[in-house]
Amino acid sequence: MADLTVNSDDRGQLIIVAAIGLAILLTLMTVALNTAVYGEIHVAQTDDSLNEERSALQYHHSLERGGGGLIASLNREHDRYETLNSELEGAVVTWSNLSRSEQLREGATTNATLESVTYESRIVHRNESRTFVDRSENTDWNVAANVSDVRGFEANVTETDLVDTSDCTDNGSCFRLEVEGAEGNTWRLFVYDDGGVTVTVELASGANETYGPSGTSAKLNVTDGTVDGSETFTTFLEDDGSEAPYTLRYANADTVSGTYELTVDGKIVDGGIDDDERYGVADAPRIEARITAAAVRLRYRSPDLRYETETEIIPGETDG
Amino acid sequence: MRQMDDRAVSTSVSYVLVLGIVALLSSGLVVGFAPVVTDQQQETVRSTMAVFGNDIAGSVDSVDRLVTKAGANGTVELSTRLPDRVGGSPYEIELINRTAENGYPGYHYDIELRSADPETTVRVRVRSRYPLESESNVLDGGTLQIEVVHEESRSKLVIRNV
Repeated sequence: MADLTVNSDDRGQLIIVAAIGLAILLTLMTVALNTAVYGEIHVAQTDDSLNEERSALQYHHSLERGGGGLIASLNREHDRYETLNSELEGAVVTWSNLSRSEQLREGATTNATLESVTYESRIVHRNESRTFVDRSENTDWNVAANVSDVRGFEANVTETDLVDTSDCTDNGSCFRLEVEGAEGNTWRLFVYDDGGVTVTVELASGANETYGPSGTSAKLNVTDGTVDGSETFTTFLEDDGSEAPYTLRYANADTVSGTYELTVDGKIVDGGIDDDERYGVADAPRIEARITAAAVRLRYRSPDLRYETETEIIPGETDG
Repeated sequence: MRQMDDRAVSTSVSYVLVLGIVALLSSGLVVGFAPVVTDQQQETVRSTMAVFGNDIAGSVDSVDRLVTKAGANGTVELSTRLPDRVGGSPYEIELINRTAENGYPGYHYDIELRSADPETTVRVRVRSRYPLESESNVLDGGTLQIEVVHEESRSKLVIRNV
């Protein structure tokens, strides 16, 4: 009789080995499946960084758009440096707080602070009967010193107070506008009465150009170089010997009357406008300040993105 | 009595046959399916690393655009969260500069992801306006941070492990 009890301890070993092999296979398949599923899930989540980029850029654009509109609005409502600065600073803080609560819902913290403001100054004199002296009645005075650009300068002069002469280039008592360039070269414009309003321009090189007489009054465009819109002369902007920054100066300002208006870059008084002896608010020439640009520091922080920069906001200019 | 010696022989034969068939089927199953499973695992790891590579490339693109907008005074730091392991095995990332080989404008790089087990390599191409550098020659898998570094003459993007 066969003895079947000898190998009874080994029964099933082969099946166990097979089962272990299958288990390993199944584990590998599970790992592969898990990796594949994770990969798919990760693909679905990769939009996160793109969303954060979009949110940061959207915040940046919103600031530029909102800030541009804000500055344009402030320029319409205010004309003093201090008021413009304080109003803009307050408005940026308000905008920043409103945006912060909006962005917090998306899990991002934001902040915007005003860093600096760039102005332009419009100097306006509209009393036709008043001479071109400053508020303190000084006849020789600096209209604007060290300005990087003069964007427009128009004057209407009448012959009432003009010096009656045929030659002013000896720097005598005639009214003259002097524009001193960076290297000390000076461009001059004389206005006098030589049978009517007459204009002589002396270039930095010393060469002279005379226009007129034009009648009892003349309209000068100093930056375009025209007398009554037709005769053209070389402006200080075109004069090779005269380069920015410019200092504009009136001499013998009590010998000319009429109106003038010019716009220069920057803030042209050290303190407030009222503290400066040259400018006033009524008859005397006045300054109308405008903001041309503002530097704002913005910060955007989300779980995965930190974005900080200083952006220049220019009114009426957005790149969409 | 002679017939008594043959008793239960058929049971033994049957038992041996069953064991043989089971052994044959089991080994066939294991030998047949093991390469399939291994191939599948390798393919899965490869495609997952391709996803990671494209994720890194997308983040580089994002930082590149943000730096362009932020300008020379801007700070940009973007984290890309990737797993430490893929398919149960660690992997490494290397940045290969291909700018010199490419005539198109900008900087061109291959992001190479390598896994040891299974041994798989994936390359993803990325183009940027700013030069891209990695803090070490080879980066480990896991969370990466890409940030802009402003130098005197230029700005560059630096990618590092965090």
